[in-house]
Amino acid sequence: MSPEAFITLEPHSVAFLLIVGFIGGLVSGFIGSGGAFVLTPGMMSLGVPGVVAVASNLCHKFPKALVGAYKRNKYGQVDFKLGLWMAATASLGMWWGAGIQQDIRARYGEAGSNLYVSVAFVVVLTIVGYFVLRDAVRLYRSGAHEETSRLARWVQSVEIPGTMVHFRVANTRVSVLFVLPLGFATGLLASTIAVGGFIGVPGMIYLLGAPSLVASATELVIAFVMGLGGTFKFALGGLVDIRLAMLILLGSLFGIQLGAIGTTFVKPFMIKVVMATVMLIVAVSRALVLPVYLTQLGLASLDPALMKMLERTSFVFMVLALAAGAFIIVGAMLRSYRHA
Amino acid sequence: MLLSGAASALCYVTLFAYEKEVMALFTRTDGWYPVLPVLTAFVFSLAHGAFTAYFWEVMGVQARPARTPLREMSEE
Repeated sequence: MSPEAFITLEPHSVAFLLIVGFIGGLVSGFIGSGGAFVLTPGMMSLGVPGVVAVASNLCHKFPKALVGAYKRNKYGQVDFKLGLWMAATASLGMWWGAGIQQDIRARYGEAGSNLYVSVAFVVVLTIVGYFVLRDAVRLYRSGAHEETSRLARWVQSVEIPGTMVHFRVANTRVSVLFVLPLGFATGLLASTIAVGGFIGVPGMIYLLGAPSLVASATELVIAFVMGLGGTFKFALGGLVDIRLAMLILLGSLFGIQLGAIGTTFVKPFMIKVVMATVMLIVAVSRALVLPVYLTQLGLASLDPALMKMLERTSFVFMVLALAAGAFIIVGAMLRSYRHA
Repeated sequence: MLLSGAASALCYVTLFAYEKEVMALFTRTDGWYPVLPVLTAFVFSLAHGAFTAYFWEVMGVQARPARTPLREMSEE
């Protein structure tokens, strides 16, 4: 792609990238991921081609994750061994997921690809978001402390000789035969909806038995590895707009530092509250555009004005999801600060 | 903080002062040019990451010392 094909930066575009970068960074610093689902369509609405938006988003993601992981490691929350084991298969999952996307696009066109992505968003986020929210509400109401789930206790009890690994920071000993598929699923989701953490973090908590603080911090290690590999892959095609990536990074590093500090202020279940809130609002956002893609595929019939309205409302919900996450984090930090 | 702030500012001023030249080089697909965006991201994260850390510290926003273990023990 020639340099002329990249957009001219206007003041409103710069302001958008800085603000969304900051809020996305804040949420990422707290729950381990977030921001990409607003940044990628947001950049596209500024006139950035889709593939450049994805590439530039990845190029800000890995340095952001690096800074976040470094910061949260200072608080003793990162399990590097777990992160690297998961990242190994997450990269394979990303590669496989990208192949599926290409096949669907070749067979059903852009609308088919969009429908596939949106269905993945709605199904995964609704199911996982519901369970995370239910757990968070239970912990909030009962005032109980976070415990290892029944499923994780079973996983920890399964002894498969030669595959058992002790993850010290996560304080869990499990077979890597459970860790590797979870990493693969994280990568697969990352290549489909751009936020693998929505499966990786709950998976580490409920399947492997990691505390939510450790799971959300360790996700940053996986995001770093996947982001680095993805950036290099897109850079080989000359598709990274370094100006966009570094502008997002400008805001997001302020955000990720604050989000990481925030994890030391709040009770661990707040990670689950923020994660469930963001996931469920994003699920609603993507559900709103399903009829649009079905119409484009000739499987439904909608008025063009209504389709436009649904697309706009969907984007507003995406922004709302990120804003709600940031609002809860800052609110929880302020409450904790006042009670100190 | 001043040093990292100056380094971060220098990175961004250089990037946008030489925007056209940077974009021409960074979108080349031959030789080692594809490594440039990756290296740049590392350099910016180092300079700007250090600056943002100091920024919140100076603003008085600091991490709270650990009060509880990462997984609080259940009361059963």
